[in-house]
Amino acid sequence: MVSHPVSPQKFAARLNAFLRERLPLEELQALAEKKKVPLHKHSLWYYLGGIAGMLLGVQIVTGLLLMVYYVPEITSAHASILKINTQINFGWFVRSLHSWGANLMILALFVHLFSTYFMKAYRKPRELTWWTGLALMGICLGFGFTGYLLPWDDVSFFATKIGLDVASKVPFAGNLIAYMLRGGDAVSQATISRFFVIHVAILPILLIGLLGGHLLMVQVHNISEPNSFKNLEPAEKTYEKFFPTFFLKDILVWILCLNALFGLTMLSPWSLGPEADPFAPAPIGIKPEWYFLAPFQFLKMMPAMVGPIEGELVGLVLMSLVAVGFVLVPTFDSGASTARSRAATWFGIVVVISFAVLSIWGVLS
Amino acid sequence: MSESQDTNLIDATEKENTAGKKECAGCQPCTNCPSSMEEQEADEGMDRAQFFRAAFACTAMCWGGVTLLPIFMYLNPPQTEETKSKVTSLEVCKLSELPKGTGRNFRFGSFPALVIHTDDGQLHAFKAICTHLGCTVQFRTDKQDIYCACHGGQYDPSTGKNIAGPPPKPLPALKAEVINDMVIVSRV
Repeated sequence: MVSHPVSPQKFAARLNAFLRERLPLEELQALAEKKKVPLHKHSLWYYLGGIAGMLLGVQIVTGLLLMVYYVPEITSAHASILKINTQINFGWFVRSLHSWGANLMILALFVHLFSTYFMKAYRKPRELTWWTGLALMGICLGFGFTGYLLPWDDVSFFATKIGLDVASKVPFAGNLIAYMLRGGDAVSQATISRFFVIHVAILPILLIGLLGGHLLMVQVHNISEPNSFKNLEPAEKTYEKFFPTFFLKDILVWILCLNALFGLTMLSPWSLGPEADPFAPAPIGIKPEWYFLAPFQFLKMMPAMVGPIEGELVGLVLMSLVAVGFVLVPTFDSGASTARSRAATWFGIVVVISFAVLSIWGVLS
Repeated sequence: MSESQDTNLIDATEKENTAGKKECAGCQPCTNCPSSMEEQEADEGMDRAQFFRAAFACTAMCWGGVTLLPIFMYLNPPQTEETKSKVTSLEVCKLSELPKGTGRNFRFGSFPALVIHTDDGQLHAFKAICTHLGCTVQFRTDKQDIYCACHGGQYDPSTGKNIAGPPPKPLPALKAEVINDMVIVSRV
């Protein structure tokens, strides 16, 4: 067919030239090579953001695949997941990947959040990176909460009911927020429709926008260096290029993590409970996902009334204060004061330990 | 760029360096110019960098393959109950509900069908899918023909033969009969 066969090398060279004449590839390459990764004993933590990003990719691919067969309708939702699990080739695998991937992604994000917190990466000029990161954490928890309802099994039904009842305890707007999210007074078809739209359209749009901003900030400010490294003599500092050196290591770490995810998925496929029955009693021993276990346990241990105020509300306020602490930490600990820096570190330690203790307590009780 | 050669095996610039050595004639062996031994190796076959580049590409392709195959199999729709179960015979209506000179569209298993009671008292049934582009045809009482509204195809109501418009073939016939005053349509 072709009279003058073109060798693959020539073809690649021509394609390269074609693209270089039409796209700012040199600039993009320079931008990619500008970013450098500091080499020190805490460098390991730099992989966490990438791992979360890779798992996000898994969530997008498996989520799109699930949407092909999932039906967001109250009498069909559970049956459609059952069909995915039992009748569709690799359906159980795709669904388990999505569930396991979601959990690992939240885990990676928690480690990413706390590692950057303890390395003081939130300090000037990286406040925007920190705040977009916190917002992304909130969005991902939102993904977890909304996605949990969609299979419409007994546990997901009650988890949503409890979660929205907690939300309704928020002063002033709480009832309205819960009512709007629920689409009425009871968790029903309206809730499935709303959660579905939030899960597959609204949160993804917010996530893509914020993640773009988050990564742009990392590109603009370069990777944060912990003080132990920053205070070294320039001659003692060693770096590696982000692209391609660190990026290739990133890929290696991703493959290891993917293998871990595949292993978990195959050894322990995600289960599906019986279909939700809004008029049946809550199953004995019902618990939320592990990442909501700490707040769940915290609210459970609150007394019914603290003085004149409802205990639930006191718990919510205390937990909100922790969140506010994370939001305000860049303004509190700017690096100028050692005492404040130490206070911020202790705040983080207390939060991590409380989270761990409450979660373990939640698992055991 | 040259100092990154040892750490980075998939660096495109490395290839440029090896390719550019021919122009560097007569200089002393240095880090920028490959030694004559390496040159010999490169001439004979694949050097280490090329090997790794090829290995990387092959691994990526294998990985892509084992990822895409399950995705293809996942997306391949399973056989539904509807396509599995085949209707062979169906009660459409009472004969009195289908007077002479009228027709009736109904569902026959997975496809639409049409039964017509012509003026001569005969019953005729057809698969109601136009042989042109698959629209559902209907019986026109005013023109006494089978008509496809999409592109104006016409069929004879007694034989199902295509008589006007774009349809290339007649409509496939079904068997229509009256049993106990019920119109029964079955596969031929």
